Amino acid sequence: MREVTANLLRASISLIVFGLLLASRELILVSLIPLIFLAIPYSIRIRSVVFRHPHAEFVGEVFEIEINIDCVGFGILKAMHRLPNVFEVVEGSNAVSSFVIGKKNVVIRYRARSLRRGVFSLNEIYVEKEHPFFVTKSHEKFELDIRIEIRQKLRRIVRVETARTVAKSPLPDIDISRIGVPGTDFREIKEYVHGEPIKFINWKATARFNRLMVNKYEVEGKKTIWFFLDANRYMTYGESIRNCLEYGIELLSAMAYYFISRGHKVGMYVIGNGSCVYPDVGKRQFRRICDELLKVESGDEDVCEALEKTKKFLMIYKPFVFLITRIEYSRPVKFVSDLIKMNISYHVLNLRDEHAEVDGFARTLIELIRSKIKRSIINLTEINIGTPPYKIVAGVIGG
Amino acid sequence: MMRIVNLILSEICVLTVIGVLNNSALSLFVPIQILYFLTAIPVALLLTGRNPFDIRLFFVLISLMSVKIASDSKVFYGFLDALYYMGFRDFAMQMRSIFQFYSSSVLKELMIVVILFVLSQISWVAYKKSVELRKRGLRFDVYTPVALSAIFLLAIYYFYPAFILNMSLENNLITGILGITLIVIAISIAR
Repeated sequence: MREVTANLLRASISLIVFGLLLASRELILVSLIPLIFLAIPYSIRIRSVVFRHPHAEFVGEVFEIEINIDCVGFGILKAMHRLPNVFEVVEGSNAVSSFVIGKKNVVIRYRARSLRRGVFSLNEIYVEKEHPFFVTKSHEKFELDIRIEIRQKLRRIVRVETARTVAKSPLPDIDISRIGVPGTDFREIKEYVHGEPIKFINWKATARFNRLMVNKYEVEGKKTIWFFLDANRYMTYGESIRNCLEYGIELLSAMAYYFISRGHKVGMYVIGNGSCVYPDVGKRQFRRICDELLKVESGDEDVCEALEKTKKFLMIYKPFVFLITRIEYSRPVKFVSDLIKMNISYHVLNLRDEHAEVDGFARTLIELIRSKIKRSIINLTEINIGTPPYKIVAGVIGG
Repeated sequence: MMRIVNLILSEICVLTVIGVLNNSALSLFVPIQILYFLTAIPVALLLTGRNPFDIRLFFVLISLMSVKIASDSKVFYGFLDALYYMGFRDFAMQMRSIFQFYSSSVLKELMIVVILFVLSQISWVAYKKSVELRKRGLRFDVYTPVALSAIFLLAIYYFYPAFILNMSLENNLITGILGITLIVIAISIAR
C-alpha cells in the first residue's frame, strides 16, 4: 500500500475509533473525508499511439523520435519509451508525465543516437496510470511493430596503397578478374575444352595444329576481393560499443565501398557467424554486404573451417583475400599457408585494442604470440582500433 | 515550495487546535501557553526531512481535540455518572459542571484539521514525486494535483457540513451505509 493511501486510511480509522469511543457524530462524519478522496475513481484510456521515427540511421548520428499518445480520462499518465542499451538520449527525454483531465495528447519527443550498429526494435512503451491524488496506480505495456536500422558509418578510404612488386599485369591496380564475360582483349590461343563457345574456335590454328584450338580473351571486370571478417568471441573483448569486431565491421564496409566503387567484385564471409556474400559488383552488392554486416553477432568458428567452406569459390574466382582478425587468438598460420597453396594473394589485417589489453605478464605473453605469428605471415598490417579507417593503408591488390 | 506550504498547513492546524483547547475544559487544568510548543513540531519534522504534517502529529491533534469533543459526548457524561455512582460524587459533579460549561460544536475546526491533513498528505507525495522524477530527468507538474485537491477540499468544507447538518435522524442510516460503502471502495482502490 502506498504511503498516502495508508496515511489517509489510518486517519480515517482513527477518527472512526475516536468517534465510536466518544459516540461523537462529528468525528464519524469527518472520518469520511479521507475516504472520499480514496474513493475518487480514476481512469485513463489510451485511444491511439502515433510513432514518428527514421527507418535507418548511421552509428553516432543523432535522430529524432516522436510519439503522440492520444488519451482521455482523469489521472496522471506517465509514459516511457524503452530504448536498447546502446542508445543514448542526447536531447529531451524518452519518458514523460502529464496530468490528464478530459482529452489530452501526450508527446514524447527526444533526440538520440545509437553507439552500435544493428537492427533494433523500439516497440515497447511503458505506461503508468496513476490516481490523480497518488492513491494507486496501474501499469500497461504497449507493443508496436517498430524497427530501426542503424548502419555502420561509411568512412571513405581514398587510397589503398599498392606494394612495390613485380606485377603479372602491366597495370596491377586494374588486375583482371579470373571469370566473367569475355571482352575484346586477346589473351592467348588454347586447346578447345568441351562446353566452350564454338564462335571462339580459331580455325587457322586448328588447321595448323590439327587439334581444335580456341581464342581466349580477357574477361571484363577487375580482380575479385574477398573479405574474411573474424567475428569470434575474442573480437568482442573490451568495450561493448567500441571493440575489434565493431571496428572490423567499420573497416570492412569502408574497404568494400572502396573496391566496389572501383569496379571490383567483392565477396565476404563472416567467420563465427557463417554468413556469406558471394562476389558481385555494383552498389547493390555493397548494400547486400552492409545488410549482412548489420546482423553480425559474435560466434565460434575456426578460421581454417571458414576457409574450407569457401574454398570452392576461392578456387573459381582466385580473389585477393583480406582477413580481418586478431592473430594472437585466431592464429591464422595454416589459413595463410592454405591460401598460398591455392595460389591466392592475401593480406592479414591484425586489429589490436591497446586500451583493452591487460598489463604485465599477460601483455608480454600476447606480444610474444603476436611476434611469433607475425614471423610466419608476410603480408600483415597491424591496426590499432583507435585509428580512423581512412588512414589505413591496406597492402596489396594485384601484383 | 511544497515543503513550506505543508509547514504552513500544519501550523494552521496546530493553532486551530490550540484555539479550540483555549475554549475547552483543558484550559482550566493546563496553561494553554504550554501547548504552543506544538508549533515547533512541524518545524522539527521539516528540518529532519519528514512531512511537517506527520500522521503522528495528526493523532496528537485529534487526541487533544477529543477533550473538547468529550464536552459534547454522552458516553463521557455516562462515564462521569458511573463515577458518581461508584462514590466519586464530588469529582464527578465538578467535572460535569466544568465540561458542560464548555459544550459546543467543533465540527468546523475538526474539518479544518482533517481537510488540511489530507491536503498536506497529497502535496507531500506530489513534492516527493517531483523530486524523484527530476532526478530521472523528468518534469512533473506538482501544482495541478495539489490545486485540484485544494479545490475539491474547499468544496467539501463548504458543502459537506450543510449536507450533514440538514440531514434528519432517519437519514443517519443512509449515512452509515454510505460510510461503509466508502470504506469498502477506499480499501479496494488502495489495494
